[in-house]
Amino acid sequence: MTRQVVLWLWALSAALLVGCEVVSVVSARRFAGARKVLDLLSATTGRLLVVFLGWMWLGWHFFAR
Amino acid sequence: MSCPVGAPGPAVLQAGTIDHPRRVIALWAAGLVALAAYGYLVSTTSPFTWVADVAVAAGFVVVGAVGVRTLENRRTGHDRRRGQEPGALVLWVVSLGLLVGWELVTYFAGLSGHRNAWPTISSLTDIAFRYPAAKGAAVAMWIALGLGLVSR
Repeated sequence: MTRQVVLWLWALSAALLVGCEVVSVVSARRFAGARKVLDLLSATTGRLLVVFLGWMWLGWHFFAR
Repeated sequence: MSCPVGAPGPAVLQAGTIDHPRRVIALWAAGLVALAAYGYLVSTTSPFTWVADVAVAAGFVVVGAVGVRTLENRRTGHDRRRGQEPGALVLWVVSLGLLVGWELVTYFAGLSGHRNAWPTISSLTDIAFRYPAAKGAAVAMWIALGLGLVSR
């Protein structure tokens, strides 16, 4: 029972992210799209380094360890 | 009106504009093939082995090299940073906040041996990655995300 609820909430979380992009397109980019979020995350050298480290961790965690 | 001697005529200019998209398409095709090959390669490795470590580290090197080039471009003034009003990002902040919050809830709830009832993202991907195609696709998306992040 718990597992089913948890899985549904994971699906909802994923749908929310997709929904953000859909809202961005429908609102004629009044709300930021994924591209703008990536721009913001990598806007400065410091942010770029932090994001790069986070990206490395993701790959290491999911595919190597 | 006559063209100066040695100046490119209309045919040459036209050929140049046609050739450029072809080159872009060829580069994209080569990149996609390389991405698919890399995804396949990593999907054949098992976690906690030196082969997996080296394969993933190879991705670090490639994306890191692109990142270094981006930083050099920024230093030489080819940077194209764009601003965004904070209000426009509210949906992403809320959605990502909920995602991270839910990950923390499931992680701590499953610590006392109830991981099956409280699956985290990692435990779900462990199941999905038993299928090499799913793992290969995830690797390709991971590399594409990295390139997207460091090449702006």
